[in-house]
Amino acid sequence: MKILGISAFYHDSAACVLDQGRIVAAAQEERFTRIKHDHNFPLHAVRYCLAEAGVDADGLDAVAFYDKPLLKFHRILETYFGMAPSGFRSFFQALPVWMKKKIWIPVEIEKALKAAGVEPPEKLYFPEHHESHAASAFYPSPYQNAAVLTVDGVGEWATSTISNGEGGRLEILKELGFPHSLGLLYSAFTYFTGFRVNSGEYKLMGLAPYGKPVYRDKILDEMIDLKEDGSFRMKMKYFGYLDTLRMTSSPFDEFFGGPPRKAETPLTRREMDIARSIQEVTEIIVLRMARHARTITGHKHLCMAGGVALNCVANGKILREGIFDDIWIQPASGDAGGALGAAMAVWHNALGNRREADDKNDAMSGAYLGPEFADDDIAVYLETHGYPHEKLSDEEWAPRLAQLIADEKVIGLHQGRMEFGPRALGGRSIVGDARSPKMQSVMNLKIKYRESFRPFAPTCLEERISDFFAIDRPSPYMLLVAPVNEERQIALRGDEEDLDITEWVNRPRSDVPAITHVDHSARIQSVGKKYNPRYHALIKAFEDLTGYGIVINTSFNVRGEPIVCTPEEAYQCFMRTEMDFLVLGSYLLDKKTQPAWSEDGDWRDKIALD
Amino acid sequence: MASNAQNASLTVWNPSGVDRSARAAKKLKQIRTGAALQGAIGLILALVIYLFLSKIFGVIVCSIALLLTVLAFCAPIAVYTPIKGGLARLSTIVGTTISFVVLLALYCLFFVPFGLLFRRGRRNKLSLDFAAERSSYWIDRNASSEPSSGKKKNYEQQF
Repeated sequence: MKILGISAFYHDSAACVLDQGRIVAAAQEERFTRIKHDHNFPLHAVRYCLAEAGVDADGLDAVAFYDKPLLKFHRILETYFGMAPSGFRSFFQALPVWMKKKIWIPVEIEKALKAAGVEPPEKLYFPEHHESHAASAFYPSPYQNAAVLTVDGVGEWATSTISNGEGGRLEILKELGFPHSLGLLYSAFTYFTGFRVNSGEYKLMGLAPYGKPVYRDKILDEMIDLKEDGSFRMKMKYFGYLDTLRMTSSPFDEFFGGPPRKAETPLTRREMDIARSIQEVTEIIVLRMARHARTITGHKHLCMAGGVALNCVANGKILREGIFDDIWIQPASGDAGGALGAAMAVWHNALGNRREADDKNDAMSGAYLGPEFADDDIAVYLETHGYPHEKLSDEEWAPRLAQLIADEKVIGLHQGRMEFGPRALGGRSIVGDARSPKMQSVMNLKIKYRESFRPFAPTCLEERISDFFAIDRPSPYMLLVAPVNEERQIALRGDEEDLDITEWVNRPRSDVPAITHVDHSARIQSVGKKYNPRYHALIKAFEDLTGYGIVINTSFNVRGEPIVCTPEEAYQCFMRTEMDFLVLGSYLLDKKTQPAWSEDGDWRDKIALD
Repeated sequence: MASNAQNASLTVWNPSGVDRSARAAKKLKQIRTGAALQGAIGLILALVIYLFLSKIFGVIVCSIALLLTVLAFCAPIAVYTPIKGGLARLSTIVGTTISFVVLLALYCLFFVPFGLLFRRGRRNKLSLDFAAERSSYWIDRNASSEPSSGKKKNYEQQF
């Protein structure tokens, strides 16, 4: 039985296909349309996933959409009833889109499937939004039984849920209701500090270590009423998202002594302190929710999903608190993962199919669920365009690239299947030498063209993770933050807060400075041989050369664009930036030998900053 | 690589690159087909106006329809496309204005009075107040009558 899961119309549209409950393919629409966080119906992702699964004209058995649109519409309307007479601007913006598209989901699905040459199946399913998140967290996890915590902006009405997962059954036990939402709270602060909502939250998280939690207690005392079990309500006078087009209101400005920071203006001490304060508030809330989940379910494992589960600093704290024996977070925790979860919810919950898990291995195939491009096709592309290249044999691939990294070259790596979720995990990555003190600023300014305070993340060999970091288990999806081991750290001098942020960033903090954040933490990916043998081999070869089984891994894109998908997009990104080498499958391209790159206009004007 | 995988990757990418001339030809064909269809509709509309409303206005509409159709075939990119873009922007402005008026009326005549009435009758689905006496804000999914919870699991329903 083949089930197509779809998420669309809010942000991060995606599609996924299950075959007899096994995940065959999943991809986000943005990777194909090149529109970051594309919310439109995922026609291209659907077409790809169906092709990958070999679904022919009448081979699709069911479609699952990731929420209940009419229930969501009910919440929208009730919000206007609750806020009128204010709220017209929001009403004017939202209602036409709902009337034109969002309440006609079955029609959109039928159109998309016919465009893909597939007969729409009889059955369309609509699991709830948070059930889709919970299913994406629990069913692919390694655990036979687990508590499941989902936290995001909002689905239909729920903003957070606690569920009980046992075998093939998942049941939501508790929920928090709109408008009281940890995701929206964090997004409000994202907005206020001048970052883009639904896009810049992880930048706020990355900024937090530069600040002090001076506002934490004030936020807890005056902005929210937080209970011991992690449930809370927000004082809505501070927030504008119910009835305006702003996330925050004037009282919020007064609370923090001034208006929101304008995007792209310099960051000040205030934003850093706000970032740190809201990060700590978020951690407190999530930890309390996790403890409550343990209490009411009794399970020793935790699964998480929802946009807030991408806050890997909080995830690391949950792990270190020891509330659960282990935790597993869906790599595509945002709405894209809802497509996967919807399909899973239908397979198990609606259709009653069994599930066996061994408490060790998950079902995500390393999150490598997107398209892979054959060497033959890459060769056709390179030959057609006349791009000089060199084919590396299987034996020389890893050692050759390792040597280049050791020579402080920056390599764009495009190999294997594309990742599903916001993180690059070695399929579409830019890699470099983590030991190099200058690599962080080189990569930020000359390659990613992004804010210089932002740290880079490492990939290390799975078997070496504890050599570098204070963590005793694998972290395959870059969703856990842990400190760099103490013996590797270079102590802070104590005058960092007096420095300009750029000076602070450039001070070495460990023997792997490029991936060590200012508080000595790192957002870790560990790679094993099973799902990405080539990437593992590369880092192993680097270790053989240098003694360090760790590299910088950042996503293969510039700021504002989605991660690259095709070899052509990889080449374009390579030529637009100051990367030294490009790897496409087995082919190695040297920037110095490439023809001059030209395109109409400045490419920077074509990509909106995120 | 499995043949499914290779075929699937080719649904998202053509390694030989984009055939620019074929793409341009396809675009021209789309412009002309669209213009011919719009021209036909314009002529029918012109005929109806001429016969039943106003002869002068009918002639004007007919002339515009014919002119645009001819431009689409003679100068599709240089002249017709910018004119069409301008007309689209104009129709967006008109449509937005009409939407604004209609939605404002809907908001003022329905949402505002009923919203005030509901709140006066202490019915507000948004639970905005703090409740210091409560130990928890978690809603029990099985017990509660809140709109999002306590619903039977019916996967085939959109609500």
